[in-house]
Amino acid sequence: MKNSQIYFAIILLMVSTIVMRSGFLLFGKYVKLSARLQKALTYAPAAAIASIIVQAIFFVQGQLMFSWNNHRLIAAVPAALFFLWKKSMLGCIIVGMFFLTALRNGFWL
Amino acid sequence: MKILLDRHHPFREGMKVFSPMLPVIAIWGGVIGIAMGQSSLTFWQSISMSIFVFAGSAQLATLPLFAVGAPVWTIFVTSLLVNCRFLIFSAGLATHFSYLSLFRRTMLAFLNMDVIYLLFTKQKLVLEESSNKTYLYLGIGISGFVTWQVASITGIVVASLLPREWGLDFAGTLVLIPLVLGAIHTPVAVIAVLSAVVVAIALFSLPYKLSLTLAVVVAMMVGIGLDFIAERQRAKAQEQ
Repeated sequence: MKNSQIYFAIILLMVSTIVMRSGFLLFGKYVKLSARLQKALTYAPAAAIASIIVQAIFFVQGQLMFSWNNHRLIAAVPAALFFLWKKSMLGCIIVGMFFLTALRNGFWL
Repeated sequence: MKILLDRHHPFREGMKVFSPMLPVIAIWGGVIGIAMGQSSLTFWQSISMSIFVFAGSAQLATLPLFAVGAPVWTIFVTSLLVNCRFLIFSAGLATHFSYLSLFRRTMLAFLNMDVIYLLFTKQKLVLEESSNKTYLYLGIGISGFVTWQVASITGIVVASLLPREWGLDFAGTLVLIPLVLGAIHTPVAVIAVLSAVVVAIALFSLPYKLSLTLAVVVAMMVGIGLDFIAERQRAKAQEQ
């Protein structure tokens, strides 16, 4: 990507933040969302973020890689379990990075 | 200055309300800074993204798109999808700040991270116009903005000094896991998110990263559908 394209994208991302964060604060008088659509919107962020995670860990250089050699995929599992257990975001990151580093260096623990 | 020195000023109160969240926001900002610093973006591109975009999950979501040179509109649509939860928060803020000028409303809304909204709506708030309420919000929001920016920019600098082989960008993926796990409380939400995951894997190779958009659309349709069925069953149970 060209430098100018990247800055253009960054400006659009800023627009996205402003539009979404101020939406009803600016246009609430004119538009009303139905309760059902509001409920549906609550599913979108978790769905989008979960999709980003699986694409980042299941694919290595554009190829689906479901094997022990996919270190990111393996390391993500204990990280997620640790979060479910301790509810700690920092702990989740530390556990995941620890396993990734260990696996990459050939320690099979 | 007077505002900061007066212990009982609502702005100071807002800072106090924010303080327990400082470590959370600092970690969140730091991780995103590291992810940006290790991404395909240059140092100044990362710094501008940090300051002007100020939406961590949307930034993390779009970094891989920048790396593969996805079209600009794909980057924009993806960020809209990730950010659309803020639309719901904005409806909550509207009940408190609808009397302010357009510019002020936009400024207040820009600061509205998830945590800020949570902290603000937990306070005892009056519904009528009140500058105290605005200052309280600003106290929470500006503390959040400053904390996040300091952490994020520190992360960018630190990441640019460390080798990429360490795979520190993986921290940017890991930090998303708690976000998802913390957001799915109901069976319907779990099924909706799982269906998104399946679509994201199955359609990965579609051009323009369409897989992400389609995954979210499918999740929302599954969510609406299941909610509708649950409602119908509840209505039936009440009839009997």
